Amino acid sequence: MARMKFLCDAERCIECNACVTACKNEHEVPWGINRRRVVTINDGQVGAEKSMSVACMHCSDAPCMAVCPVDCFYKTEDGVVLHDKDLCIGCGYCFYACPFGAPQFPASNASTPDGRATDWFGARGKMDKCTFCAGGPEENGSEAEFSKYGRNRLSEGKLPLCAEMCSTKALLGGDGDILADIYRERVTVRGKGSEVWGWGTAYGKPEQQSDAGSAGKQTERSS
Amino acid sequence: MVSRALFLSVWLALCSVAGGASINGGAFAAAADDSAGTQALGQAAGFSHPEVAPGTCSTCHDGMTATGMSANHPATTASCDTCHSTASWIEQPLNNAPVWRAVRYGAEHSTQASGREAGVLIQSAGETWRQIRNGPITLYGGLVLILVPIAIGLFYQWKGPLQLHGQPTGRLVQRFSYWERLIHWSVAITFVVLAVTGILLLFGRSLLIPLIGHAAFAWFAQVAKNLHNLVGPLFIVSVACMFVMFVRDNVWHGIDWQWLKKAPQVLSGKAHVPSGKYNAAEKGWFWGGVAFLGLVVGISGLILDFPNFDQTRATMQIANIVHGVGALIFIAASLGHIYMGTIGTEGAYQAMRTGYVDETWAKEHHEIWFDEVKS
Amino acid sequence: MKFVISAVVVAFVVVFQIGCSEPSQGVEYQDGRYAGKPDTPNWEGAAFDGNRENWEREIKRRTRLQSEYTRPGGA
Repeated sequence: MARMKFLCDAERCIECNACVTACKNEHEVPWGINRRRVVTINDGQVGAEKSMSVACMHCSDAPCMAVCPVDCFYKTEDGVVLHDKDLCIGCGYCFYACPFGAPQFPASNASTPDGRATDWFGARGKMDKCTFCAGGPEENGSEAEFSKYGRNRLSEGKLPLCAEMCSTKALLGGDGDILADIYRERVTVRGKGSEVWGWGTAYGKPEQQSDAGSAGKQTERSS
Repeated sequence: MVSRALFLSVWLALCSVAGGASINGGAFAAAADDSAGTQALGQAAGFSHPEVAPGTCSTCHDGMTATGMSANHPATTASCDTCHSTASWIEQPLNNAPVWRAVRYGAEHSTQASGREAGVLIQSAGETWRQIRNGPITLYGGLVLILVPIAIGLFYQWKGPLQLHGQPTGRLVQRFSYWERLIHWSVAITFVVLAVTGILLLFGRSLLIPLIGHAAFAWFAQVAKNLHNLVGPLFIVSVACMFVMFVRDNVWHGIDWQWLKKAPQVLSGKAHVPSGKYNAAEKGWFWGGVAFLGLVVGISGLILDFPNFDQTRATMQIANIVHGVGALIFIAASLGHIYMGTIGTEGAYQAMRTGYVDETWAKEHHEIWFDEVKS
Repeated sequence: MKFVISAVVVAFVVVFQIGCSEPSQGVEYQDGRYAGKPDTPNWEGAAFDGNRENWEREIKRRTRLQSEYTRPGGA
């Protein structure tokens, strides 16, 4: 069985925000709701700038599920974390618990263009978040499902649109095993990325620059 | 096992709160580190860095001898050279690990998305909040809510209600004015509504969903949440009125210490210490319950009820924990007050309901007050 | 008194159940079948007509398409 995962390659993300736009368009989400966003770290610092597209990561031990007072979340067989908007009471606990800031609330987050909340009492509406393009409990592809959760691409045999249309293929989505293979191949081809094991600290720069596997190259070789 | 988990989680919470708070206000740490590091290298040009033993950077780089950690550096006890090197302070070529490690401290980065804390990539404190809420608060909160009624029931079985020693005279004295009763019952009714809806939201998932199912419970929970949010501000207003109206008679006097010393005998009817309009236990409930817990629960509740002022998640997580702990203690203590005000003391409920008490009751329970009224 | 003691014991058990046991957040299975909340599986519907293998094959194929090293016509 496929375990659905997202993977964002920060070496490739160019902060074009196309994933964000595609998501908004595909699901016709209300104004002010960001199911996906791109965060840029060290913005403007040459060499240190990294961008990352982030949404619900469909965690294995999902904190939102654990704290929901009405138990409205569920996990599908593909490992996708979905929720039932008929049960959601808009308490905001999933927003407190989520590490990625994925849960969105239409009422209090519906904001003016300068980012201020528009309603003063702050009552939250029903939570909205990334569904991995898998809809909700309603019948697949139905009108009710679309209006509450957006399009159900998974049931059409398609992957999340944000990942499928990513122009640099920084954002990957789909079967976790295959994503791991793709990323492993990238790391090999780049000759870079081994920093995750701490080799950068242990061995530093290569003493001799050679063509094969030369480190620190800005572009990937596509042999 | 359980208590170890508790201590661990509270400790983690304190750590993450302390760590998070120092970062949130500042810009991304690496920016400041960069300039600091370059400057230090320039000044110490004569110093031969390659001879420094690993892990000893901080013997000079302590902020006194040479530049140390900046104010908004992520809290750490690790040696400097875990992340930085002499040759390249901010960026080791090929090594992005420090960047991603810094992300875990919840710093706000740049993003095009609008919304609160949209620039925070990862906030780790949510997991701590989850462990405290789903752990100690539900566990010990539930324990308290079950053990206190059991203790009260046992006490009632053992001693029964406090009864008058003398015969009622039939002559009545006014104890509570109309306004005092109105305020008392406003506080009482809003308190009970908040307690019941709050308990429903904290324990309903474990207790009620298995019994009535998800859909029915979600309906109850929706009503409970809205009631809780709307009644909360009313409770705060009522408590504020109550404080103003009742504070004069609740000033602590020397006689109250004597009452406290003999409390066990007084409560079981074996001894008598005269007291004013309120005795030491009632004053304790006024100051510790109404005033202090009312303030704690009220302020934390307002932070959660009105999320329109750009409170961060860290603020709301702390407010939620304070609110939960405060409310559970408040509810447990209120059970004692409700017991003493109804079945625990003969005539007490009538006093708050009608406003009048019998002269015998007044003399036996609040002698000093009775003498004042009579004189 | 016996009643009181048994009530206390039952209360303790119930409370420790609530407090200690946070339910697992994983996918719920029973006898090897999905037993979570009801939702139509992705392979049920017009596109795959209940053929789970076809659906999985299609998803895996599309996942692989995201690697420009291996996709047909890719560099």
